[in-house]
Amino acid sequence: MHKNIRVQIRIIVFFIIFLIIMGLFTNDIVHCEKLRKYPKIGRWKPLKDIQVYLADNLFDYINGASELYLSYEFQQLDVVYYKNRRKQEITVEIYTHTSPLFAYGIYSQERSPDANYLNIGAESYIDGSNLFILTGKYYLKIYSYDLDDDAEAVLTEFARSIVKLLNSDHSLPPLLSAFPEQNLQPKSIQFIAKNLLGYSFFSNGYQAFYDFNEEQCRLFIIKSASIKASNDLFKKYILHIRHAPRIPGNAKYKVVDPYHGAGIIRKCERYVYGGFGLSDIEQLSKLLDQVGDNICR
Amino acid sequence: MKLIIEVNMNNPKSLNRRNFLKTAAAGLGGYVILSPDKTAEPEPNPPKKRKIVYRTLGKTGIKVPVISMGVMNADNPNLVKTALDNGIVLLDTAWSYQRGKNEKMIGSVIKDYPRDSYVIATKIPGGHVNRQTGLFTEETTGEDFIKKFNESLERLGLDYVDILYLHNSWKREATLFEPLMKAMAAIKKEGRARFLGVSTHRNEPEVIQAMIDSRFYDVILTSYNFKQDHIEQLRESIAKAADAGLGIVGMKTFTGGYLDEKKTKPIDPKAAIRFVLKDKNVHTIIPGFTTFEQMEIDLSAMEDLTFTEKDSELLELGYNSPGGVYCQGCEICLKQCPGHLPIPDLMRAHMYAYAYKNYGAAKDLVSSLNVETNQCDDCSACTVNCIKGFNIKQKFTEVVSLKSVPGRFFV
Repeated sequence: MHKNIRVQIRIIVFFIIFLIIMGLFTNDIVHCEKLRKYPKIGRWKPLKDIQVYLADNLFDYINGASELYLSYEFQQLDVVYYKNRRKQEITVEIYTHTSPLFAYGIYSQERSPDANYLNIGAESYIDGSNLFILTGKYYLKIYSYDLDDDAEAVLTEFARSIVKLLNSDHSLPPLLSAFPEQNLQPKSIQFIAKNLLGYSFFSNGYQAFYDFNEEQCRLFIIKSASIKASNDLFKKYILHIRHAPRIPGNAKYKVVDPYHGAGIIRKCERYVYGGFGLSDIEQLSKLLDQVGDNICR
Repeated sequence: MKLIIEVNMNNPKSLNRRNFLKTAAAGLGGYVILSPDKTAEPEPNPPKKRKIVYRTLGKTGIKVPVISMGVMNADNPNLVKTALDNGIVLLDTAWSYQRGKNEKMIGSVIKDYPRDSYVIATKIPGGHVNRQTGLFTEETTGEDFIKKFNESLERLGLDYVDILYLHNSWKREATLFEPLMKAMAAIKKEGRARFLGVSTHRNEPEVIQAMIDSRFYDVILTSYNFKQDHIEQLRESIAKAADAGLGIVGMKTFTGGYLDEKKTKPIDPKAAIRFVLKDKNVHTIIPGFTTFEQMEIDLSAMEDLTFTEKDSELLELGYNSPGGVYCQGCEICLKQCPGHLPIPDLMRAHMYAYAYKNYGAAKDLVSSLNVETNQCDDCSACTVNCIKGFNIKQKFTEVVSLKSVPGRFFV
């Protein structure tokens, strides 16, 4: 009798665990595949046919540009067409990536430094008759056509509504602040998912561009998962440029990279960082000192 | 605590990027400079002598290396510089790539090069497309196309591009859409594009045929890779286009980079390149390398463009659609057949007959091949070991019998 009760309890517990696990999975599935309901915005109504693109058919919508999106862990694109009574049209594209960092990555690949920046989402700007927003793991593009003088107000209204709908964190990646601000080209800090500096072993790193008189200089930072991984990465680069020195704990090397020329590469804790492009190597060194101060604490 | 190992360079200015790249970029050499008492300073590798194979881009007369650069995913100006310094001539971009930043990046590089040392191809989208039909809607205008093209020129910092493509057409009607053709003709007449073309990623044979018929276009940018099921049909279309004087640029050579859907088996890039370039009608391809290593590998494919049996194995051509009807045209069989049968052509004829049920086309093709119906009888056993596992003798016997069937039965 007791044995039967124990078996029954086990079955019930197992069933409850099963339901919990199924619930978790179901949430995930719903989250990934759900069709968002897009709201009416002012006098603009969404058309019923919302187009959804996933990784395997993104190409159908943006052609060859899709490869870059896929490298930033693209998940889903919703394309929503809005119309008003005057039959004017606005297209909203919502690109979902796996994380805010990857969304920032693809956004930073495309943003225009000269555009009119707004205070919506994590970052946003109006470029011509279009508005672009980064918010959480979403990269939004809002295209308007023939709106004349109303364009900015309408686009802004759209931006606020969609950002509210997505309800995301509006912070930017913290490592952006590691780059010194002086001489930094506006909006030039990018997160590069793959092949930073054109090297396959440099991935998930940041780069920023600086202007010094007639020269353009590039700084980069790669944060590894561990100090060992960072050491290995540093070593790999040094080996790649055909030299195998003893790797000290914290190091900085002047290097002559076969493709980027003279520069400096350093390592501290979980970071490998460096720069290329300045003929005044001391000036580059000072710039990297500031980076080091910000990340090697 | 930071350990500093650093010395002054003798003359850092002489080692700026430009000068350095001019002398050393062709190699993979580089070096670390430590203090003289720590280690000897290694010398960079001498510049590599590279074999460059050129083909002429159809009636345009432009001579280009068979390897060009699809700049699409590259955000790295030094990669483009290095590509140009290593002999690459044609850079392919588009109005839409990275919202124009790709063209701007190219512009920042080519401003330092003589205009006649490179060829720029860009693509402009036609406008509003019905995604179900592939046709342009009424909103599509030539004015909009020209406006976008002007933006491209400005970003590139050029007065003209060498090749202007209509971006991504997969329908005859879209390829021949009059408002866009008029806009392109006007651009060409003004000298702002030397040559015109269309890029196509699917339904390529239909687009290519439309381009041939129009006698309007100069260059085709088409998908072309070893995974395409309709490769034979595409090859035939390309051959016709090349005969008509069109320049042929191949893309999607690596077809996603992996042999399998789970992405566990990377494609051998050289084998994939050789698969496409063994077709002499393809004048160049535009692999989208984003690393220096990839660039080195792609360029080194020019050392020997012979498509080998080993390449075939690497691309697993024999495993694609087993039992299928598509001959991949690897031509390995040609050396194995003592009767010197034109096996790829015969397999194409077989495909026409048994896959497409187009017996007329199959008969025409077989009849044109100058083969005898009993030609296989000399061999007791077939010596051809087809990588796709085709029973060549059986297929030959089946298709060659069509020669004796009067043509009227196929009308």
